[in-house]
Amino acid sequence: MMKKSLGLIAISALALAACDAVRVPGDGREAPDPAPPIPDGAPGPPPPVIPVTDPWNEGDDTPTDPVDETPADEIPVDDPAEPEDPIDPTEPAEGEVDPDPAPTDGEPDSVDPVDPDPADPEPTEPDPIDPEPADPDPVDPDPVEPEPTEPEEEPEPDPEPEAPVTPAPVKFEYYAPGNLIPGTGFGRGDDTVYAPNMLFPIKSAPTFPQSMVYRAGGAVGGDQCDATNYNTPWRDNFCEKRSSNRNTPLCPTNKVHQGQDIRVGTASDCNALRGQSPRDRGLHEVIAVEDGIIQHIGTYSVKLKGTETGNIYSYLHLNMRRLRVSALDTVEAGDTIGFVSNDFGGTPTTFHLHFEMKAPIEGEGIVHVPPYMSLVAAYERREEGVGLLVEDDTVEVASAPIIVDPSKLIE
Amino acid sequence: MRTPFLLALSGLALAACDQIISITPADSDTPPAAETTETVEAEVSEAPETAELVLPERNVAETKTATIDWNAARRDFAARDTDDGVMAQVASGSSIAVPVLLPDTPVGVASTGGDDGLLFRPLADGYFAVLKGDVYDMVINGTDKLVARPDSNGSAPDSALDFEETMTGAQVSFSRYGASYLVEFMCHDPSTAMKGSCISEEDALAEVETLLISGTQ
Repeated sequence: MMKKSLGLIAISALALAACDAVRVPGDGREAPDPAPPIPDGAPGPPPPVIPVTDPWNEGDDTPTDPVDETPADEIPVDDPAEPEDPIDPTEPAEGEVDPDPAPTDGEPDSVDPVDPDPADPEPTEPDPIDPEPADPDPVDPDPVEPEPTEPEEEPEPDPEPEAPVTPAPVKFEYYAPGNLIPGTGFGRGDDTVYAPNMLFPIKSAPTFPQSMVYRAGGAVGGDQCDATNYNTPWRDNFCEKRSSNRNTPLCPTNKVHQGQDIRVGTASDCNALRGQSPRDRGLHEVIAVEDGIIQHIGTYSVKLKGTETGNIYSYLHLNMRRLRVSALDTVEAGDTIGFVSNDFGGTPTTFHLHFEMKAPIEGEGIVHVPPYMSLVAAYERREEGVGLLVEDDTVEVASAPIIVDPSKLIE
Repeated sequence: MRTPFLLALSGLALAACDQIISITPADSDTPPAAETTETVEAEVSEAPETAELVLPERNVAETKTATIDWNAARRDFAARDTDDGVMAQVASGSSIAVPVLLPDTPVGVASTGGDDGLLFRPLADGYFAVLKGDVYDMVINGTDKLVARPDSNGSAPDSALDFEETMTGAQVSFSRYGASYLVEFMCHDPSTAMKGSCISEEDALAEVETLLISGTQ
């Protein structure tokens, strides 16, 4: 019996000793410390070039280690998440515009898909890196040296995300200011933002500033609800040719359009508006672009005097029977004024907002100024993204003016 | 008798050992990545909220406060030919930023809509007034703000009356005393606004030329 007892005691003692031996290296009872979880060849984390003296963090309890290391681990996460860095598909912009116009219509994010699309098929370099941070693994096995070099180079972009700066995503596309539809007049290439802090006049819907006369549904024929009207880069139409004797000193020619037309929503919204009674018509809210006073309400216009800039804004073609303001009301930026419609007195126009800005220009008095870039900047703020300036691919027809029947001109 | 006790003791010791080992994987090559990953994800999801969104810098118009020639305004005010004391009194009631130009019509304070006659409201940068009519409403704006051109000295020289037709009627803009003014004629009949205007250039200019200086500092 004694022998058996001694034998059992010896066995248990050995077991405990073995147990201790196992516990020592990883004994992080305080917490399972995430020791450098750097898988060999991982792209993001700084390579463990320097021999790790305390891989299990036994000696150093500094809680900073895991924190400091996490960003390294994030690298592969950030990279794919920021397909926007290279976002600036400004490079492939020219090519992208044509093939993928559809996304722009859609909603703000529309452009996002544009980026990856063209990138996926062709480019080989960015794709493998962006989509899967784990790719490096298969890369590592081949060369041994590349492991330390690749991760070292890639971590560099990491510092960017560490900084409190995030590149804004592309939300829409636009042609340059003054770049009118070829043959429709001479625009004013003015990139000045005359209302730096103004809100975009449409509360939330996607919008497509463009010509009403020289696109489908205008004097050139077609249907105003044509999908192509809701699937196109923004286009300036301040100074666009008109038959009426309307001028402004800031346009290079006379008989011009004195504001910016803005198509709102989607093609299906357009059709839905047609199905509504004129009295109830309206899907998209129009808001005050800055604090001010409603100076005047006309037959189909609302005039807002901004108290910050002193600018005077005119909103035309709202549903005048559903206005949310009255003359001489004091409004705050963002207050709803009414709804986008087609009121134009007796004869309706297309569903859109005609938006004008007047500002006191030195030497000119209070005159119409181009709203285009103020709208671009305001939309960027609204969408928390940027507009992508695209090249005009229709320049070749610039010398062939579009001829329309003046009697069919609508604003 | 001690044997069972010793067996139980050794069994407990081994069981405890297993629990400890289960916390830290025996394979020391694979660190506890799970929690690390969670930490990373949490940080990534929070990053966008705290990060500052950088939007493109734009060419912003430089707005200045115009220098007003109050001496000239006072001279004109003293020389004006009207006996409408009410108009002058209302328009001069407060320190308006620009000389007030109004039609020779009794003035009311524009606090609510729907009133007939000339409604007047002072603003921080000037004033505006609305005169309702049968054919058109007249909206008058005066401001000391000025979008300066490069190399500007911040003063707007007097300019001639500039008439323009608009989509709602017509307007006349001009600068005087260093301030900028706009007189808009808002046509009631849309058909007239769509095809020219409800007021001719001659009539519009005549209306503006009859405006009287109704208040100065």
